[in-house]
Amino acid sequence: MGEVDLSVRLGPLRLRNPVVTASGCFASGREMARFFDLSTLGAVVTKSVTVEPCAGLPPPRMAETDSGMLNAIGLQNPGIDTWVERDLPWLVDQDVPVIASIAGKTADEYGLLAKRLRDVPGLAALEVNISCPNVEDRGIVFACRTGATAAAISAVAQVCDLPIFAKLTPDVADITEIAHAAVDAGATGVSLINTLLGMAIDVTTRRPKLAAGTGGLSGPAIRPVAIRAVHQVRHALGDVPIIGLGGACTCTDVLEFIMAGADAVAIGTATFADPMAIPAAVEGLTRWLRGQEERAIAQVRGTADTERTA
Amino acid sequence: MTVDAAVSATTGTLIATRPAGRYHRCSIAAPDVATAAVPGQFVAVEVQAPGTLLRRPFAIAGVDTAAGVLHLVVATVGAGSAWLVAQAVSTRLRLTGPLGRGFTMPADPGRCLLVGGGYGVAALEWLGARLLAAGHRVELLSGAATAQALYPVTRHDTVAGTVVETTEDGSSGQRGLVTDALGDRLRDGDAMVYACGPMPMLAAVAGITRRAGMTCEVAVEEHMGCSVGVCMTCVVPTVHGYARSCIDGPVMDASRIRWESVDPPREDGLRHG
Repeated sequence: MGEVDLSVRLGPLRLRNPVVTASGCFASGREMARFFDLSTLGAVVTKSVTVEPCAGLPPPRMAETDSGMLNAIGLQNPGIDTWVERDLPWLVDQDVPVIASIAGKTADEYGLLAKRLRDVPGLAALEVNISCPNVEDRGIVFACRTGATAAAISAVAQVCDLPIFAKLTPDVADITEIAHAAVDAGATGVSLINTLLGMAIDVTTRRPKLAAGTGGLSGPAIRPVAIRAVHQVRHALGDVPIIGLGGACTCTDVLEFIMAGADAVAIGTATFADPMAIPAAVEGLTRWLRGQEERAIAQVRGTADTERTA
Repeated sequence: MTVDAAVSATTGTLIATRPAGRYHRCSIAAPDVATAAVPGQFVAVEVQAPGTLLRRPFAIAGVDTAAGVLHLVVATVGAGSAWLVAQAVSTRLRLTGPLGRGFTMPADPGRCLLVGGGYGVAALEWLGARLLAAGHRVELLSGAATAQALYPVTRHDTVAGTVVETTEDGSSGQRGLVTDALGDRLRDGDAMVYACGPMPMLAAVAGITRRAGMTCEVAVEEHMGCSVGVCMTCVVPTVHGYARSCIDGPVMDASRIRWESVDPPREDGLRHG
């Protein structure tokens, strides 16, 4: 039984293992560094940052649902300038690739954010969040339309040479069309999936459980949707780099994403339930791989039998 | 931002669950947590009630550092707290703690007024014992709607020089709100005020102490998600914007909170759910 290799390629990036943080689930990084060394991670994907500081939505912002949770945080963040000066320098010193997530209200704002980040030392890539469900106007969810997706991604690609991952929503008729539009516009790869738009009602008060009414559904409840999206896009777009996410909690879940075709897998909500979820998943991968024929996790990608589903 | 390195993700053992009035007092052997904890801090406990996903935050109501045991006072308000109080002795519990910012001890000996609502008094009982041991004069005001909802303060002499109980229906102690009792006490002179209880009570305490020109710390009660500072669920409006009660609090300077913007309380379980 030789040593196993957990490293993976994610487009031009080389990650020491395939497990990364999901955007919006890791704050500044300092909070989680109390529990484990961040170099345990394949990469950190940061919380989406906007051009201006954003207060976020009023509470209640979260409602636990069966095997999941709804959130309507509303992109609370200090704004790109404060974030770059206050939070990012510490993070890029942590011996872990940093993928910065950006969110704009217009294509121009995506361009502005990319320009601000293109020369920041130590950044590995950008994740372009074009699919946050917690925006006032559902009409500005870029990733619901091919044209808007292309406009936002090309605004970033035109000004920035960093690898670009377009974060997509499954709340569309055909996610492969949106993925095609993103890649054609200059995205290096895609992150699949963002939360699904959901709602829960308190039957005692007859009011929505979230102050915002609707919110994004995450957690184990959405994993089959995410696995489907990863599988579809892997099948339709050949070798495009994919970060799979949506309800991954354990090593087994990570393997499910990899077998569906993901190069890397983000863990988000599971970190809320257990701060050690990511280190535990990474340890589990090593143990699992020791019992397999493959010596490298990269060889496991897309190995699910697709004959019957393709 | 405070990031406390003393916190750990660990496993404890339930050693006792006893009734405390209408509440339960759960004692858990978790030496790393018990040794590091201070009054006002909390732990997040993994519960295995069907359909639940997130750990449940519970205020720490005291520790026995020699034995490595921490005590939680639990009100059964939801599936998570009901699961915890139903567990048998020796159950292994995965938990994270001690979490959050605790109460600040005054620099110089002086008078301290502790104002608690319902089982919020449990954390103040522990704080009172520490203040008393440090040479402060301690008066504990414990209020609830009814006698049944009062938290039973067990060792009056070791937690406070004076204990005043109030009930809204007059079924035990003074009739009225605990905040009325606070107003009376504040006329006796300067004091540092500490409060723990439901948000409307904390808002009233903040108003009374502000008008009296006295310093007040409150342990806020807000729904939590991750309990460790990353999900941004448990925010409280402050003069510096939304602050996370799990890591920027739960103990906050009452004068920093924008009380007029605090969300009304909800029935489906506060932060101890």
